[in-house]
Amino acid sequence: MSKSNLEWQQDSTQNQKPPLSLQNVYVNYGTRKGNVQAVRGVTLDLYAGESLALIGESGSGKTTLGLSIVRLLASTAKVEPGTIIYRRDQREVDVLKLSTSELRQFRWRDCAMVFQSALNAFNPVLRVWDQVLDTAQAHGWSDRTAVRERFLDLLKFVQLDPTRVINAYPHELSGGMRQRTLLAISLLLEPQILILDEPTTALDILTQRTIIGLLRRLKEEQHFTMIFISHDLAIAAELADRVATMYAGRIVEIGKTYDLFYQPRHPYTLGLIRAVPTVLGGFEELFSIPGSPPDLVNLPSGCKFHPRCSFATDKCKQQEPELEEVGERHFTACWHWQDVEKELELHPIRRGAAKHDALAQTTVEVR
Amino acid sequence: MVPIIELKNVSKFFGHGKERVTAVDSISLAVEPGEIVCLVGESGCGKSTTGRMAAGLLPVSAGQVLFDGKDIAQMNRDELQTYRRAVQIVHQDPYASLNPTQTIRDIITAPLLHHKKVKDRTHAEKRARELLEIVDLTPVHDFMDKYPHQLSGGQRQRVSVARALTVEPKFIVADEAVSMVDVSIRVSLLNMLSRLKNEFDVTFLFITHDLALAKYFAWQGRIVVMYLGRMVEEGPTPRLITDARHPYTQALLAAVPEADPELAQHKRQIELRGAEIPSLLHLPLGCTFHPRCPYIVEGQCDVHVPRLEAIREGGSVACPVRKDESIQLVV
Amino acid sequence: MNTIRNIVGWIGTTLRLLTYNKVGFIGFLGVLLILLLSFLGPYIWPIQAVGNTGEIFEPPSALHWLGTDDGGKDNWIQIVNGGKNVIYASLIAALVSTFIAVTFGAMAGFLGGWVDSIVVAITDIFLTIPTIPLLAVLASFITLNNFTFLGLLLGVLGWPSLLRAVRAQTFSLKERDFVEAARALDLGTSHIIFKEMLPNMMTYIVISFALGFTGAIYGQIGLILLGLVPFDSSNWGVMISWGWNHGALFFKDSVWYIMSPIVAIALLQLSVITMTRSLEMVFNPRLRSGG
Repeated sequence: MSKSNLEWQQDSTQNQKPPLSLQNVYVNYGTRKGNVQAVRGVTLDLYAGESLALIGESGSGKTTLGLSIVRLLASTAKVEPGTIIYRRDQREVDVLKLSTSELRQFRWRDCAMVFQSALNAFNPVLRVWDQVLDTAQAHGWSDRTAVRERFLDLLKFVQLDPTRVINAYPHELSGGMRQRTLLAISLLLEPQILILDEPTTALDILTQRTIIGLLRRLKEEQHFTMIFISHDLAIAAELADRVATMYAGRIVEIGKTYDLFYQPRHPYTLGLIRAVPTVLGGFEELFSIPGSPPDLVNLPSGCKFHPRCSFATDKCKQQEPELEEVGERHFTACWHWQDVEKELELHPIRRGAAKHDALAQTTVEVR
Repeated sequence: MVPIIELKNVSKFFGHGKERVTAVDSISLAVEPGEIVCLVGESGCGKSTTGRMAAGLLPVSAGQVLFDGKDIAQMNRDELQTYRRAVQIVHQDPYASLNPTQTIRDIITAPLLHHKKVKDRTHAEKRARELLEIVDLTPVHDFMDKYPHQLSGGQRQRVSVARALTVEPKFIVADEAVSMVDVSIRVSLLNMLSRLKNEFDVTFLFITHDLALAKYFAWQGRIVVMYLGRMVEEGPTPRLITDARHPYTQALLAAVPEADPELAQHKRQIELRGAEIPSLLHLPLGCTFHPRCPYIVEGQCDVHVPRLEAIREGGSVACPVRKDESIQLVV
Repeated sequence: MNTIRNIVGWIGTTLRLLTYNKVGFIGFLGVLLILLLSFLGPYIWPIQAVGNTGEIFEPPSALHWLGTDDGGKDNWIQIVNGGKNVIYASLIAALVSTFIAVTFGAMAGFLGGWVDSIVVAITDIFLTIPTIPLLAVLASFITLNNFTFLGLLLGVLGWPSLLRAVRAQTFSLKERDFVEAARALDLGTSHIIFKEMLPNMMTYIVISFALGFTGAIYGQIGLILLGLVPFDSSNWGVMISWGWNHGALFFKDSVWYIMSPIVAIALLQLSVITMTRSLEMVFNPRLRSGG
């Protein structure tokens, strides 16, 4: 499908300024157990046309951060201090200051979010087309034929049979089809940014591949600006230009995908990579990270990762490190990143190489 | 050696008449003592059903389940009881597999006391502490009086394993036992299970949809791939991963997202002819994979049900068309 | 010694859990107060045989805390004496209906098959019986002047909806992983039912018991009000019925008389229902926060 056909409103002419800038964003939840510090001081720029993966385990704050960008947090959540600046066509707004009606427009036209549980996103008693039309009309787009045409195009783009899906009830679609339909709907109003929360979790492998293929096309052919939120490193490896590792509500490392996967400088990123097996990367020894994810009500002192970190010293128990530049566009919040570098020189991550071992055992035959 | 668990032409049907669904279709699988076997497949392939039949938790519709060479349908009361306790299961969902109204102490001591594995409560308490230590839930006194909801997912899975160990099992079916646990913790759980295998002579049937986990856990063992209730390929893990022969296995291996950017870039993609899995209610004739298979031979694949045939490189493949053809998945 | 300590410990824990939810604890205290007043109160304020005809429809005063009725009898004394039988019969009704519902509902859900079919069929038949008309018919044959009997009767008619719920819960619990694990561990049917499944239904059963109790109160009051149960002794239902039949609704001064039993009933219902919030806390460990 050609770019003109879908008419993405990509705006790359805003003086090289990133379409989304998060400045020192904090999110707190009041709960019965106490104050949950879900996001603690995140600063992040998202550039036009790039895809960024936020990775981390449960409780790392990645989903909360995603939800705070589209302001879909529970009412018990407080987003302060911090600013979330959004830019489009010379316009510059603080998302946190938008009114309810402005927000509704923002969520579809500027920054759409696709959720993990695709079934819940649909109204079970409405056909897909009715929901699409409702959405379009709610945003002042009442030209039925135009909406239909665009939606049919989008369904084709996500490789679904348009006539079958458009008249179906949500329960008549399989999980993968729902996820793709949802993706099509979220593109309906030509948003500038797409946030995808666990886009492939709970889907079958072959379906995951279809979704990844689609997202790759959005990225490579349409240069769409996207944020992927996932606990799955594979999503980052397959789709992201840049990766940010989150731990206990903070970005602890951010950099280009290759740098992060092969030259991580934060012990947590290194730990994650060494804990996850590949399929075709030959046999690799894996190591788990000791301990459990932190209790967000009672966070440890100093660096929040120190109780689980093999590099930790007394300094880590007392002072929390800030992000510092350790390479080109590569930042890490660790007092001992040089030690991690030395460790990697001794025991490099050899997956890219391991692939050749796997190859050597394979008798080559290509149809 | 006598297999510890053997399935002979085991099938499972659900429902009746037009609604009848064949969840598992004539599977034969023998697990030797000490062997690690991994059942791999997508949702609806029948892997969990197979596991539950092997564990005796679901009656078979046809075929036989043999424990230590003896058909469980022919067993007397005592033998059945021995089998019952020798085979345990660890479930997928750590939030559903423990009773929310019981403390960890209740959960572990109940089977010990019920089966008179210990003299009295004091000994049960002592044994429970030992078991929690074996599954690395330390310090033990932090856990004994907790309720399941006060533990993390990984910790709950450890409790599940400790509970299974109370009856000194010989065979454990681990049904997606680590899928719902945080990635940083998974490996330690898997390593713990491997340790149990060596220290307590437990044989594992590991069921998962995650090929990467299967590869890691069963590198010394075997992987069995299922599709729509049938076994399509089986073999020693290194062979199956590097030289898969069945087009479905190849498609799965090519499709798995890789946690490595190099690999992700250089993996070959296999285009299937159809994206949707057929419904179990209307299974295709012949090979159930033929509507999606890129190598279909008309008049053969859509007519004859392929049998598993042994291949020289190890294991067997249910595809007469492609069983001797290797392909390269990383380019 | 150990058992005593255990029991004391258990009571202590339970009391502590009851205080967890403030509204629930107030309800618990309310129930306790009403029970004490109804069962011990009559010894302090015995019933008056005759009233003082000089003090008809008096408003509350230091002498008559809730005023007097049309015969000059003290309302407070009547309220204190009028609760015992109503509460007693309702307790019996709730016990009977909960017992039937839990026993047969769990059995049907757990065993399934033909046992389930029979239980469901009987339940459906009972569900279609209209209680009040049936009682009206029965009242013409038997004299319903015994509270135990009345309680039994209300209980025997009150179980079907709870049974259906218990059966459904048993069905879903039976499929839970932890029940399957207990089967794999060969812990036996009685362990599975009483240790694994029942505790998970306790919250629901207790709430149903409370609802059965309040339902039985309404049932009784309705029967008395309709005159289907010819009671002569003083009780809250009779007070309302008496006041109604004597046109108390039309006298402004009678407000204290007619409202006293209504408020008493409402307070009891409210206390029982709010108390269940605290009982939930006792039976469902998940509701107790982290700790």
